[in-house]
Formats: sequence, C-alpha cells, structure tokens
Amino acid sequence: MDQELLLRVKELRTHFYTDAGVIKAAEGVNLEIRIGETLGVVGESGSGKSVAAMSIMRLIPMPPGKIVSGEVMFDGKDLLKASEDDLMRIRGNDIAMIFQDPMTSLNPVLTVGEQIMEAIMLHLKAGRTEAKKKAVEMLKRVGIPEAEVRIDNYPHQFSGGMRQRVMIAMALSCNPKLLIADEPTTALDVTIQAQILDLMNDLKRESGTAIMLITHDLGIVAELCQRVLVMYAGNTVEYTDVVSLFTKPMHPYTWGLLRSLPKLDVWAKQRLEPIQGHPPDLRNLPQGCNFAQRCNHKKPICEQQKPTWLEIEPGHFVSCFLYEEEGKRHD
Amino acid sequence: MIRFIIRRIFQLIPVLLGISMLTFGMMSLVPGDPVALMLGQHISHQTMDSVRQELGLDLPFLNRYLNYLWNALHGDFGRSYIQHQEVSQMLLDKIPVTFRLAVAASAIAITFGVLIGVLSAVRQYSFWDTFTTFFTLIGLSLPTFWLGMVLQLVFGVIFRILPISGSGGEGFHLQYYILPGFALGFASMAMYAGLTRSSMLEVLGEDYIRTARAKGLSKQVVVFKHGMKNALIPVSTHAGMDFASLMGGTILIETIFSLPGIGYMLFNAISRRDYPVVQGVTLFLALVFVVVNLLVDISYAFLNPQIRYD
Repeated sequence: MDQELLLRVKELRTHFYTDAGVIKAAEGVNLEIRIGETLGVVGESGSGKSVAAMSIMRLIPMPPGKIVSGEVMFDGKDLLKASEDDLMRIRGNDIAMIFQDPMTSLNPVLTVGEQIMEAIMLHLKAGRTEAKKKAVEMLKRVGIPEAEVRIDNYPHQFSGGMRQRVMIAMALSCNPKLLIADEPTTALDVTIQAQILDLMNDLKRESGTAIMLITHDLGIVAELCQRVLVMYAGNTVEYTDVVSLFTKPMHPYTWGLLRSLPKLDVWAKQRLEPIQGHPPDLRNLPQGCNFAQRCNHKKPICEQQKPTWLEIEPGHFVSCFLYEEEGKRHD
Repeated sequence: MIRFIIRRIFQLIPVLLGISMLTFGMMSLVPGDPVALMLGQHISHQTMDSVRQELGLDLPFLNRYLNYLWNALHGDFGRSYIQHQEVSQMLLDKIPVTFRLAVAASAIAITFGVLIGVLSAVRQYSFWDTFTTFFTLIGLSLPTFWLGMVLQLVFGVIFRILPISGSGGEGFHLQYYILPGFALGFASMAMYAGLTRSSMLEVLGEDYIRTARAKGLSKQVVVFKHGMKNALIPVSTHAGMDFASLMGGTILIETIFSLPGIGYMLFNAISRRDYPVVQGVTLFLALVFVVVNLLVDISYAFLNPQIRYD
C-alpha cells in the first residue's frame, strides 16, 4: 500500500501575517494521494483548500504567508525542507498545477506556444524546435483545432474554455506525477465544465497522472474521484474513499454538506437543509473544535479541546470527538 | 492602423497652428523693444523706425502673423535679429546637440530607473526598497539646475574627471554629455523608478506570475521574462512623453553647462527679444512633443498584443 503512496501531507499549518491579525488559513491539513489516483478536496470558500495546494507547491506568497509547520512527503522527499533549486526541478515537472481562472492565468504578452514550450525546454532539456513539436502535440491532445497555427496566438485570442485547455496542455507537457487542479472549471460555463473534466479524466487515464482536484461541487467528486478530503476552516475533517463518503459519512460537517445537496429522487418542494451559522473567523479560531458552534452533536469536550485526526476504519480518517480509535461512536 | 496614423497626422495641423499663434501672440505682448535691444540706446528715432519697417515690425499684429505663417509654410522661419542667420539653419545646427543630451538623459534615466524600480518591487519593504522610495522623493524634489551645479563642482572642479562646459567642438564627444545628461535625467530616473516599482508590484501579484512560478521557472526568468514585459507597458508610454519634456528641459541644463543646443539658443533669444528664434524653437519643441506622442500611441500597439488585434 505504502509503495503506491505519492504524496502524504501531515499536520500542515500555513498562516498569513496581516495587519488585521494572523489568519490561520491552513491549520492542520492531513491527506494522502496514491499514484494515478484522483483525490477530491471539498469544502466551502475559505476552508483552506487552495492554501493547502499552494503550500504543497510552496507557492505561498511570503510574506505575508508562512508555512508554520508540517510535513509534505512527495516521492520520498519532504518538500517543506527542500531547497529552492530542488523545488524548481519539481514544479512543472513532477507536480503541475492549473488554476481557477483561465482568463488571468496565462501571460497576455507571450504566445501560448512560448508559454507551453518554456516548461518543456526547462524540464525535458529540449531544444526550441523539439519543444515546439511537443507543444503542438500537446495542444492537439487537449483538443485545440489547427494547433500548428494556434500555437503562435496570444491568450486573448482564445475563449475561456480554450484557455483552460491550454493550461492543461501546459501542465501535462512534462508528464507530471501529480496534477493539482484548483477549481479548474469554476470560472467556466456548465457545458464547457463537462468537456474540461472529461478531458482531464481521459488524459489521466492515458498518462497515469494523479490528480488533486479542488472543487466545491460534490457532483464532480462523485463522478471523477476515488478518494475525498473534506475541509472546514483550515482543518481536514474527513478523508475517505468516495463510496464511503456518500454511503457512510462520519463527520457532522460532511453530514451537513450532503444534506444541503439538492436530490432528484425527493419530491420537488422539499427545502434544502442549510448548515446553520457561519464558519469561524480564521484570525480568532475557537479553543475547541472549529465546527463545534454549528454542530448538532456537540459534547462538552468539543468546546474545550481540538479533536485529533484518527483512522476510524481502514482508510477512513475523521477528526471528531464522536469517535474513538476502534470506530465506536459516542454521542 | 494606417487610417489611424493618417487621422492622427491631420489632427496635428490645428495643434501646431494654435501653438504658433500663442507663441507669436505672447512674444508681441511681452514688454521690451527688440529694435532698441538690437541697436543699443543712443540711436535716433529715424534709424529705429527704418529698422522696424525693414523687419516688418510696424505692421499690424494679424498681418505680421499671417506673413510669418505663410513663410513658415515655405520652410522660412525668418532671420535672427541678432545673428542675422536663418532660423531654420540655426535650428538644424543646434538640434543634434540637444537631441544627444536628451537621449543621454533618457538613457540614464530609463536604464537606472527601471533597474532600481524592479529591484525594489522584487524586494518590497526591504531596506533597499525603503532607501529607493526615499531616493525617489529626493530625486523628484531636487531642482535640476542645483544638481547640475553640484555635479560640476564635484566631478569637474574637485575630482576633475569630466568636462563641465561646452560640447567639445565639432562632432560628438560623449564625455561632454555625461554630467548634463545625468543632471537632466535624474528627476526622470526617480520617476521611472517609482513608476516601474508600482507597475511591477501590480504585475507580480497577477495570476500568470503564479502560473510561471508553478512551471518551475527561476525567479529571474519569472521577473524578467514574465513580469518585465507587462510591467514596462505603462513605463514605455511614459518614456515618450518624458523624452519630449526632456527636450524642453534642456533650456536650464544647456545654459548651465554652456552646451550649444537649442535650449541655450532659446535662453539667449528670449533675453534679447530675438522673436524669430524664440518662435522657431518653441514651434520645433511643440512639434517634437506631438510627434513623440503619436509614436507612443503607435508603439503601444506593438508592445501590447491585445491592442493590435482588437
């Protein structure tokens, strides 16, 4: 099992030091990704999904950000201890990333070809002609028509969906072992979303790249992911395989998330059930569990102590006082 | 694009017409009689009147202006009252000096200004950044002529490294342009530094910079390849206008460094009420301004691919 492990993040903490106080954007992130597997990371806005991803790549702007503690083991190497030179060899080569907004993620003054070729020339030590050939091939793979011509175009000559395809071509050009996709379809309209997700899935199957897919769409998770990580207020609260998440979710926050989803099989007039209250202020986190204030299963201990990250069942991790190591529930 | 350029060239006509009218009118309004200045004090009224007649200064304002305009359209900007040379010829003789000085000042200002700006943006809030912000403020507040004189004192008189006056006679002698170029360009340099810093800071916060870093590019490549080109778009717009105003700013510096350019010529002409020369130089400077403005607009389309195709 462990030999298949590609990435393991343990107790990652990333804080931002601002004039308004210390924002604890990631406060104990734990996750694992196996080779060739897709992990969905879900959670509401501000739950620390993107910050966790950026911390893995060590792309947090410093200052004001700082990775305070934790461990990011990738392919046997702790990325948090790696030198900047080592990281430059890993970024774009072993771990690639695509971002939420394809409209602003490409450099407006460089041709898309130049932007794809850069990474190829850097990591695969290719010459310009060779890199250009590879870039055209990548553009064809992501379904851009007339790739030989389009390669010399600038980003503004592409539509949003096409730009995201270019981003994917760029990210996959060096055959990374892990692709981090930070809400890759949020900025796109629904039909294009489906195309992009299908494309990512196809490419994943061809190349065996593992994907960390950040999203807040549980439908996408159900369709594409093998494992799911649920985040809340900077914490990872539940980690399990996708079937268990939908059939026997364990954390009260996950219950809330699933209950707030619209369902096709229930009669139309039933109201969605929201989770009451608001997430806590990340500058001023409660002493106990971050979710305690909104939790219907709260116990006295929940407001005094932080729950620990426990493997309740094989491969099913939860951070909640309702459970003990053996998986017994204590309400 | 071609249509745009042609339209812009036609727009220059009323601008230049207005400027010529203004300078011509203002020269007629300032006190001081050019004929008296030209001939000295102890000259009879008859002589003065005949000279005035000869120069056409006895005609009504509108006649004089229309005559001037008509001649100017034929390339004749009149003769200097003092040197009795054709103004157009005098301009042609002096323009190279001023042009070299403005180029030297621009080159110094852009090279160092952009470099300082980029470095302070990359190290925001560091000691270097604070220092350059302070330096920018100083640079913008120092009077050009004061800086010119201090440079003359330090490098010309105390250390005796560089010449402090003249242009070294015929041809181009670089060492004569270093001190005046630096004095003239210093304020611009500070401005370029500030402009580049803020523009670069904005660019470095863009998503595509994060994309570039995520690709594994080194910090240098990210800053200079992905950041610079974007950050320099506003800077380049400014560079054109700055060059034109440096051409005008040469009046003080050329006078202090006795550089025989059009600025020095203008200074002398004003103090002697040499109207044709003043009008000629002013019109030329105005022309430089509007032409450079046009060139900036055209070059903008080449720097920013989004403008070319939209």
